[in-house]
Amino acid sequence: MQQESSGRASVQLKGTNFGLRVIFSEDLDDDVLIEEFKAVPEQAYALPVGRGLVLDFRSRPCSGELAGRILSGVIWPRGLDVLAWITSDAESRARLAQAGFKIGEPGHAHAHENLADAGPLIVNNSLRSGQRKEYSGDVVLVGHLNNGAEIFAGGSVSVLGKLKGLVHAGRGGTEGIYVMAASFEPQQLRVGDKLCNQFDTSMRWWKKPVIITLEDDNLFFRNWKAEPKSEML
Amino acid sequence: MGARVIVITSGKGGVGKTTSTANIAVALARKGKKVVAVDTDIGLRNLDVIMGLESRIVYNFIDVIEGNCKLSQALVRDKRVDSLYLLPTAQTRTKDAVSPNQMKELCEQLRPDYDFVLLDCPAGIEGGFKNAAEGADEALVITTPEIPAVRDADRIIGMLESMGKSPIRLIINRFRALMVKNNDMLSQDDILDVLAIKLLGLIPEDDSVIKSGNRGEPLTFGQDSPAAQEFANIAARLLGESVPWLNLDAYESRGILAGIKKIFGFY
Ligand SMILES: Nc1ncnc2c1ncn2[C@@H]1O[C@H](COP(=O)(O)OP(=O)(O)OP(=O)(O)O)[C@@H](O)[C@H]1O
Ligand SMILES: [Mg+2]
Repeated sequence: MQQESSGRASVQLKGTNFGLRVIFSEDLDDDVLIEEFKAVPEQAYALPVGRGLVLDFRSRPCSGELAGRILSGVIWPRGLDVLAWITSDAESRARLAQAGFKIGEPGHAHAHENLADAGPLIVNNSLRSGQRKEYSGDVVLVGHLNNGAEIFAGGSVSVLGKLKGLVHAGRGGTEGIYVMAASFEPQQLRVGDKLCNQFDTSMRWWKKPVIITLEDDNLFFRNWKAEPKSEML
Repeated sequence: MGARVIVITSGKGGVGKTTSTANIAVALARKGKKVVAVDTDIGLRNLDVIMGLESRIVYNFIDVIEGNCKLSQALVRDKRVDSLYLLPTAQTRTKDAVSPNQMKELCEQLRPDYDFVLLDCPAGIEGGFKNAAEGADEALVITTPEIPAVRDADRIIGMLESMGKSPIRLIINRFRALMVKNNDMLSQDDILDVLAIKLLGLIPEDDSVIKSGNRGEPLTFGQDSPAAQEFANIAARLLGESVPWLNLDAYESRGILAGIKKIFGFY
């Protein structure tokens, strides 16, 4: 998926199949960069962005101070995750690496490139009981997945409404795979071979917006900051 | 222009399709519309019994399709109200006796002469449902406030949507406001939240439905019971009138509140 999601020229957002890539224009003053980054509307992060952000400075240097301001000014307040800090400026790379920041492209970013080539399957209506979508790549459902409805995906699955049915993601391998839902209340969830079918409705994530990944063979839940659309049919 | 052809369907059996078909048909006829109710549930004659027209049946709709009689010979006119007709089903045939195309053809034959063609559908999602739905423009989906019924309704709605039926509207039957209040029954909001289609009627659980079924006299011939009132409201809403919703709370507690509170009102 390639999708322009910000009109700003100096801070560009691009959807990729592992997350959002934030590209800063190279000639920006630090203060302007922070201001422009802060001005990106919250909704931009509500896209099916997967696990987090890749901050791409291109050839622009990134000082320790700038990195700190980005974290405290934008990343932390918005509850975002940074997957990588990318810059071709050697000195900045060394400094960031030393401070413990990830500076390489996310390892899994290319794992599904063959699937991503075909683009995601976008389903623009709710799936009702008895309806089923099967696709070799990522699936984005712009609607609810009702109880009794099913999505089987080779890649990741994003449900922008309520996830009440059955999802099987990562049938083509679980590297970099995520399942995302605006409201998590499933009958059954499978990521690769990992099966979860007895959800406790008192669990912390029940009916909450979540992003789920597989880490060390366990399902890992994270908050996805977005409200489900109440008027979606 | 011709008739609006509406299929009345549910997925789950026994939730009130036949009851609704009979009562809405009578209510529409009483509002001066020319209506034919078609029983498409082959092998299980029901609609004629509920409508009290059982003894007057000579031919059925399969006879029409197979050319054993003319359409006019198979239609049974209801003598209690002008412009209400029944097209009965065959009791001694199986569901595969007709094809979807034949059903469609039959509906087209009826269309020019009526304002409404109501198709009472068999339960299930198999051939019988598909046959009946084939000839229809619109659909009324009936559910009771129970999870399995709502699930099946969801499934049927998905199928109706993929067949291009529109509008598809919902009737919730056997609703009990007191049980909902005590959290023992799905509320109308719970149901609409799942099904996400427009609600056309909310019919209370009402003993007079059973009594009238046994008598062969649809409730809507008299209008004193809450269910009869709501069936009449549904007919009005089908005609585009805006009708207030029944106050079911008041109805259920009328024993206590008799004489104090009006039975019907606005939510
Ligand atoms: N609102 C109601 N209050 C009380 N009883 C009801 C109500 N609606 C329906 N019933 C009863 O439920 C039973 C089933 O109704 P009905 O035959 O109309 O359902 P159906 O959906 O046509 O069933 P089938 O799927 O077998 O065709 C009948 O005995 C009827 O009297
Ligand atoms: Mg019936």
